[in-house]
Amino acid sequence: MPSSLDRPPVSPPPGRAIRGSPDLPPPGAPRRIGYVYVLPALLVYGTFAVVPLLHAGWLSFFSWDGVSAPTWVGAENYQQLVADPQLQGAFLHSLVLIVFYSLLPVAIGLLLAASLSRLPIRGLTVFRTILFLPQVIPMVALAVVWRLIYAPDGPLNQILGTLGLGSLGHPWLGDFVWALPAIGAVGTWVMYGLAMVLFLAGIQKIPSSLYDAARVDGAGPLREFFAVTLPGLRNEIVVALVLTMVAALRNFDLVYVMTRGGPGNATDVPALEVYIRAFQVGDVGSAAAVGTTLAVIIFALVIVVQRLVEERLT
Amino acid sequence: MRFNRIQRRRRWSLLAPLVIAGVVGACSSSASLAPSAASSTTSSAASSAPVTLVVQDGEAGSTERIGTYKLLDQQFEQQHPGVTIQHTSEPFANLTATLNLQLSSSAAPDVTQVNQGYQSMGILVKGGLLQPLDSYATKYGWGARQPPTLLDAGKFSSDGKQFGTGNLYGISATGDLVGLYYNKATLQKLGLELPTTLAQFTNDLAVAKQAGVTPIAFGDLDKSPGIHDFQAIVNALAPVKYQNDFVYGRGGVSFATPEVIQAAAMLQDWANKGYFTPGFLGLGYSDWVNGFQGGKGLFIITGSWYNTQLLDAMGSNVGFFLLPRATAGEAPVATGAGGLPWAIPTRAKNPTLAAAYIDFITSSQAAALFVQRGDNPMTSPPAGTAPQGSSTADILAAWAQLEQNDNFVPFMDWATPTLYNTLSAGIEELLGNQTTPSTFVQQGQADYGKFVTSSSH
Repeated sequence: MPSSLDRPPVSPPPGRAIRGSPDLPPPGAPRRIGYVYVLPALLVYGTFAVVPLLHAGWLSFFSWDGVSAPTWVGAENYQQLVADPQLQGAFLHSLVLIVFYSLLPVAIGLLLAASLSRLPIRGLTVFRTILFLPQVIPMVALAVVWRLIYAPDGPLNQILGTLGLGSLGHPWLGDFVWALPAIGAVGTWVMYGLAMVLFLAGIQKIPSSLYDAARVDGAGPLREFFAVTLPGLRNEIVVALVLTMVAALRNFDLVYVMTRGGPGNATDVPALEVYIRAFQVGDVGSAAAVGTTLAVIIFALVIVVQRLVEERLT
Repeated sequence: MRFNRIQRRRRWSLLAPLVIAGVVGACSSSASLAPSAASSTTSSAASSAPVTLVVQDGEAGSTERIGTYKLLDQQFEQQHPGVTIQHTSEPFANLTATLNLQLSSSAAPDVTQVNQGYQSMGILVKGGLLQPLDSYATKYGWGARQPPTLLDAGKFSSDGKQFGTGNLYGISATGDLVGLYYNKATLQKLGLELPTTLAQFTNDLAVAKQAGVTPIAFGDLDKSPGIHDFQAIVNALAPVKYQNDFVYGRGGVSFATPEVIQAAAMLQDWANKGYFTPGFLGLGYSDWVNGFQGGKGLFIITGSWYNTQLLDAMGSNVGFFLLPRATAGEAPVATGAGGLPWAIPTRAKNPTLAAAYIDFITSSQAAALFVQRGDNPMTSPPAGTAPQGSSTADILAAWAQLEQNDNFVPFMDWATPTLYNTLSAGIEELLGNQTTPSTFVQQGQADYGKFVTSSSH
């Protein structure tokens, strides 16, 4: 059977393109050559993400100081992890941070996006840029600045004093009650810009006919938000929740720079424990066990969020 | 582990999160990064001279001290024609995070600073990555140069399990001494003299408080200063032999002794009586030290590593003394130890020359240079090097007094790999009235007892 390549190079007859040739697979069908295209990215991803992750998982079954030969200990690192009340506290703090890093920013982002898209505001781009700005500043720089803001003589307490609310002042980062929310508030401030930009982009994608229909049906702004905007942003909400939850759970830089887990262990988080165990205590196996557990929790949470949001909104 | 260093170098340690990107995979991903980063810095000057000595310190950020080392490098090069020193400085947090991998690789430097304690030097010794220095110590007479108690902190059994005994693996050039700095003008204004007993000292605190002066400028946001304050009180109360035995795990001693509980109670009492800077748990290291420099506070409890800065800022108005013992007439006991010790990796390419370098930087000639630049050397400098009446002279005098009475005690958190974290968190709970002295001491003993049992001392 002559293949298309054997044919003389003549232009195909009108109305019949080469891709219609019976010898080639239908357009869009997977072809093996595709793997070659993704190979470079796959190699980089595999070398720097998948292999280290699996390696860390493997290490979590050993007792290893980072230098001498590791000893296999089975699940012992995980058993100790479950029995360690300080580590339970650290994971609990992570859950609190999810509220600040994820739920609050998504709520604020929705509110801002819905109002910014409805109201004809002059200089919208400027507003959007300013609100998004915390996202592009390195976390460590933010942490240093917020450490100053929260200092006992810092701007926050000074402002409270000026307003005659000096009695509400605290040594924020040294307060056993307020330190964790103080760090969380920084997370909220950093994350809501991301959520807002995602939602603004999502709203533009919603057909304006839906809004017209809602208005013709006599829906107010609130009804319109719940009936049109919110369902239309389903995918963006999933993305925003996933990104911010991952950020909340792997939070290290803010805590390390601002409080080192203090006062006491009031702001201890799992990622800080990974760092302390691996680089300060010299217990790499235990550090890997905490890291792997964290990775599994993040993975499970992402799946749950995807399921929940998609089901509830469809 | 020397967490005071982290604090001295806070600006640098802030960069650690950038270095340790991606915490979940950190354990294995850093393995692929560290050796390549190190090799790029060490290979550049290899061919320019007959011998290149690769020297690495872990004190980046201490500009003054590194400056002294650079001057010493030049002098060493002049004494050894044909030798070129290639000196790299790492921030302390980076040094401890990467040393294990670097010394396992072919990019190991000829001389490097390492960190004391089980979790740093102990791990390196156990892995066979450091050379014993005993033959060099005999050759050069290092044993006579520095107090024997202080040399112990560079010793490990060859399996890395017994700290403070066995082979010598590192020797320090500079010494760290924890004590009190005081504002001379404020002390005079309050009509007080330097205390000679612990009771007098607590009385001074009460007098200052009543006069509206912050007795002790202090802040614990960085978590490490609290240990210095707590240990200073333990130093004043507990027997010196007990304190050394505790750190080196000798003689089955416990953390839960009446003196330690009393020290914890006293620290909590000071906090409750308002003897510390208000809001101290939320106050960063540089804030309270700067506050003291500016006249806010009668005393601070910190180490000799702050001397250069305080001397620059306060001149002759700052003095240094050791917290006196509870019993009148007893010579003070204080936390004093070598700075990051210098060691020779097993994979060093020029070990003999490396030993000559260590000999030079721990010589009395080098000590004189350290003192002239406001630093505190381990080796005694020639007499009269420090300016009369300066805090530098106070520190040297205190050092000599401790040496004479053999009253040095190592940093107590060296006792177990996890004790720094246990104590620094526990002290904050104590200061914030979240726990009682006896519970705090029980937690410390739980950590200590577990480690001593598991490593079968």
